[in-house]
Amino acid sequence: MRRTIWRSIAAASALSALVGVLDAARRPRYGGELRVEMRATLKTLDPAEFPEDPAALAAQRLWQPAVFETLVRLDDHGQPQPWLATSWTHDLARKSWIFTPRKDVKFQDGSSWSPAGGAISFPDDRPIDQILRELAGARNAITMRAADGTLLGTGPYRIAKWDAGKPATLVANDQYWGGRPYLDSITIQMGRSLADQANDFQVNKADVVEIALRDLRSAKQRGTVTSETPPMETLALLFENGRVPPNVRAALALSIDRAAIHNVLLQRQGEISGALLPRWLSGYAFLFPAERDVAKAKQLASAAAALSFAYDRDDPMLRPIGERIALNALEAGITLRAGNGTADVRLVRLPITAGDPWLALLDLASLLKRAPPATTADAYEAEKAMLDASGAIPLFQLPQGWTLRSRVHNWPRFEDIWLDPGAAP
Amino acid sequence: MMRDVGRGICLFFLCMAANAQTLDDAVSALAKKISSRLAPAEIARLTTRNLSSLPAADAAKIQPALTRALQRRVRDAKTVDIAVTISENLRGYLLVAEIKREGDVSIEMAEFRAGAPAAAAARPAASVEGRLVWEQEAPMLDLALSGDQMLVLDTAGVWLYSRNAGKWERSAQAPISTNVRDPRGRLQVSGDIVSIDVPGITCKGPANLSSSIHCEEGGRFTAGRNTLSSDGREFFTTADIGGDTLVAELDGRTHIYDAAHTAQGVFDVWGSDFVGVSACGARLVLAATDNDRRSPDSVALYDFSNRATVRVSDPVEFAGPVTALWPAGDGALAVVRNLKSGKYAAYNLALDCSR
Repeated sequence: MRRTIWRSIAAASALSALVGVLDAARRPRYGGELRVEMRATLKTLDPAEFPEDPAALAAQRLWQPAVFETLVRLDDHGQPQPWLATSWTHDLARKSWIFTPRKDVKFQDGSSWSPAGGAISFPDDRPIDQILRELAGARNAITMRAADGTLLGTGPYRIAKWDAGKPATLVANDQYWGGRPYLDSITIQMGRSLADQANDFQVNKADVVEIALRDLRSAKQRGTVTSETPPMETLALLFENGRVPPNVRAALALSIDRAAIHNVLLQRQGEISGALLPRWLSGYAFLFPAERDVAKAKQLASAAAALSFAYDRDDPMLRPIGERIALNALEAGITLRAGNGTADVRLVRLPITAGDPWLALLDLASLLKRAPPATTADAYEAEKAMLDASGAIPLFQLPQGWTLRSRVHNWPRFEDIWLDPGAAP
Repeated sequence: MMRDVGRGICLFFLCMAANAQTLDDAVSALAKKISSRLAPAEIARLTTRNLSSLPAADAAKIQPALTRALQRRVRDAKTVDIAVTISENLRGYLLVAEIKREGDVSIEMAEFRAGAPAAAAARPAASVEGRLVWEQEAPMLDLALSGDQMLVLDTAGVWLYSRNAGKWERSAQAPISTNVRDPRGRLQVSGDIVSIDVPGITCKGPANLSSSIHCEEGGRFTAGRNTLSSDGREFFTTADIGGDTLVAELDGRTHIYDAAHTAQGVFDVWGSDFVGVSACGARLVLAATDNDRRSPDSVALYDFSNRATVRVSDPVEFAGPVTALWPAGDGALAVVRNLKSGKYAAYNLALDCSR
């Protein structure tokens, strides 16, 4: 059966410019509705809104390029390429960069996108590669508020319905400058548990559903069509209230048997890491230590007070890992007591939202409530500073998986997705 | 303004080139960075490891090159251990130096891109030969060659090229823009007249583009789609062969109809593009492989005796997907999107029955 492997990743949304390998190979067919389900509940796609829930942020970054576009986009190698801007140059005084807007771009209500003066300028206060990288960020998407308050973009789909807690609907933008997308519409059911998603997939109520990492291998073995990203999520321990002293944080980091958790609970999916960013994105993740040293941890944690420890107990992946971390910590003399609400330590999933280290760190900084990385900072220094300041303990980087109906092609390149009516249901 | 824009584009690509340095450049840059971290009385003791996909032969060059670059003569030298890791990320390879001094580690990095392996040359099959006719950046839909004149249809319009001293020079153009995902178009020259079809539009005019081309709504391609339309039905391709008609339909399969338009069967071997050809004393089909449009395609010759597909030639392999396949002379014209360069290349596919 078919299987999709994501070979590389980049673009304004890290998920939107992936190169997939599908073996179906016909001319794409126009038409049809794609039915997608996800766990996250996303209140809005508005690029100006930043969801504080990591899962909602991941969903927002995944879906934003379907509706909103940026002046430049990152390609498969993380390099900025022209998108809504076709070129850029200095002004004559060499004080600004002038971006030339693409012609014939329309907002989703049919009105033309025509920046005042026929160009867009940015102060030349930094190297152009930094400016381009920033412009590729989802936060800098081009939007317009219609008279009725509707938020409009220039992307291949327009929002037909998006109410919190209800199914969202995107419909094809017939006037999209890159050509109308193949699908007529996409329906997104939010807030669905993995079990509900699996059931809906089983009874043909959904075309694309999320799949737990531990089930990915068996799904492939059964011949189910799956799509898998490179590691796009960092599992980490966060310290919420600043009550945990640095020596205990260091002890906790040294106490965790990442190798055992990776082998047994994660079935060797993803990578062990002490870094926030995965190796495929940064190349230097190995510089952040992830080894276990119980003896040193015991030394550092001597007489440590018990800590409250929280994680989503309904999350089938987090729960066993959380339990194992508590056992590991106990071996080093640190007691982690299950807690709800605010906790000293929390086990979380942090999304990797962009194909550029700096952009990914920018979103992580917002989630960790830290200062954004300096625009001039090199990624390694920025990541090290963020880890030092937050005390976060990254543990693993994990891929994201979906189960797809075999008729779905090019997931998740939204404008290129098409449905093959000849494929098996 | 035009000049400014041009300079902007140049600056952009210079910027990209600066990031994409070679292994030698990266070694040199890293050596400079490491040197700046070493005190006058310090010398480097290097170790290297390769965590990347860089071939061992290339990786083996790094330590000697760095050692040479960092060599210095110092009396009573103090040795500093430097661990160099060859890693990689989305953008290419990365040399990471960990400069270790008594509990303190400082980090330096340099990026590089490995030389791209030479693209596999198109290898003509025993009885189908692919010859490159034209290559360009813009998505090419069709091409017609007549002596020293060439008409190229792309998503911006039709362009006339004339051959002058062995070089093709653009001599005229007629804008006919098409804005469709998976765009398609057909260019047919009959005598002095050229007919052009793109989705929802059909045009006619002089083949030398000496006067304006007349366009109107309609034509063979469905408006806003990637399909052909006939008698209210949409399909991707059709070819008549031995009294039967083969139709690549929207279900992704090839359907067989007899002369009375009665369905005779359906099969799943080819992609959406094929061409019927009269060659080697039979009606045969040149068909593109059933690959994804992001994978390299090949085109091979098929016999369709007894309504079964039998491949009768070796496939002609291309460096990307076949985005168009149209009849041309006794063979076909294939447009291929090169996956490495992103350019569109038109190949003339000629059949040789003597092999």
